[in-house]
Amino acid sequence: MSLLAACEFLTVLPFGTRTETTEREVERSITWFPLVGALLGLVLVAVDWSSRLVVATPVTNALLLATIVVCTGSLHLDGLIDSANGLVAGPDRVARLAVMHHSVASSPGAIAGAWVMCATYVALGAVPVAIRPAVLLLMPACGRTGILVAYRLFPYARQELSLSAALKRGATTSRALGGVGAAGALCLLVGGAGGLAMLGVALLTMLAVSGLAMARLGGITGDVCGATCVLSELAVVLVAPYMLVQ
Amino acid sequence: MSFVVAFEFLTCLRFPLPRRDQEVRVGRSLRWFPLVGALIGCAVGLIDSLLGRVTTPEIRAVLAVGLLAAITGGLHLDGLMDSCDGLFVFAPAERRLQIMRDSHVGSFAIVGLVTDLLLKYSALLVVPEPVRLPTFVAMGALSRWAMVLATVHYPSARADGLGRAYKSSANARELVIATPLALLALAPLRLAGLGLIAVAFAATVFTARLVMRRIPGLTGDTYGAISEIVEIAVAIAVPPLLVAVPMWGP
Repeated sequence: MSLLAACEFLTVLPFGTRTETTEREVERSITWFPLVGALLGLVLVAVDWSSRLVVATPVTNALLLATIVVCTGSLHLDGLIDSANGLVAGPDRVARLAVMHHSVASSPGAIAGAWVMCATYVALGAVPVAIRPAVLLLMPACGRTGILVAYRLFPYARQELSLSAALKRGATTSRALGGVGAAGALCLLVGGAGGLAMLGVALLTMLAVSGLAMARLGGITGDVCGATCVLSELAVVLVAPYMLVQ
Repeated sequence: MSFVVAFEFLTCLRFPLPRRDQEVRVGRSLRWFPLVGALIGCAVGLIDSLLGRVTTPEIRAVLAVGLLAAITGGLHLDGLMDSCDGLFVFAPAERRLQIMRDSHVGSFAIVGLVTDLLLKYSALLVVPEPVRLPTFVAMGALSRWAMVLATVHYPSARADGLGRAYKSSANARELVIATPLALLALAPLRLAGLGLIAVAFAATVFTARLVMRRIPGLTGDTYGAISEIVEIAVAIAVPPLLVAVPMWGP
């Protein structure tokens, strides 16, 4: 049931009957994040395969971006935009956290969001056809593994109760190890050593973003985790042609 | 006269006519929407043809995307952005309608805008040379025809506003006049044009139903969003339609 809770939180895909999710389930759901990423990856592989039967690759790449946006309800990109708005605001942590809660986007968020989407589109265009399925499968899994590790490693910046705070409480060492182990096994299976290296790149990107959040906010938030996810996904697609055997 | 109303609403160009302050029943202008759309598409398509002699496919595509937005004054993109902000958020219907009217840009609007522009760019990138101009005309005509279909066929979510003004002064006759105009604009594509109007119809119904799951009807903003989505769907559909049944095309 905590797997269903993870699916419902991370995607808008219909998963049967919506029952009331308990706080325990939300806490436990964090361990499933890499698996939900892999499921999202399977959706991308299916869209990629069927779309390229009908339309040219550049159109498919844009459709893949649209698929990510629609399937996730734009959750992670929203996090990136809010984070960019907040991280550059001043003068102190309290003010920055308040800006991130604001639903109005300002220029830094617009710039970050537009840039990441354009960069991901261009990076997808540079992935050779032979490794496209592997990249599309691993990209969301690596991104969401980063979220799991970030919740385990870094303190939470906000005081108030929220879904994100419950995920932080749920991110125990054993759950993190389980999730990372599963993600590592998947990467090894699909991409060999290169697949593992892609997971490494995703985690390094996550560390860099979380480090910035530690300096500016004194911890991470749900928005920061969304930002780590989209930036790690971009990093994974960028390095994939050099890491996967074609 | 209602043609001038449609033209000045859908583009940022103005006719040098003496202004009359009298109340216009804007809904009557809906019948001319496909014609105005075809003219917009034709203008952009002609510029695209000229650019084809001097520049790369990527630059042609990105300039066409910019021109389409500029000629309309960003009208439909604005509708798409407001719709994304209101429809992607978790909130009751009344709150969604409030957010859509709010002129502030939220993160969903940015994501929707960039997705729209990337889809349109990539679609225009791969439209083959001999059908580029007819494709631009079809995109313009069908995207505006879709707004007529949406206005006439679906209920309005608001009691006031610009979208409501169109809805309340329009009836089925607008669609009866607009549809042959749209088909006329599709004539250069011959039978493939029929495939395109089917795509436009499906995209309109699909989008309208998605919207109506979140708010109890359509608004002016969602008419704009429908127009953007249909424009993209038509551009994406042209190459596969021509490949699937080669004798359909020109």
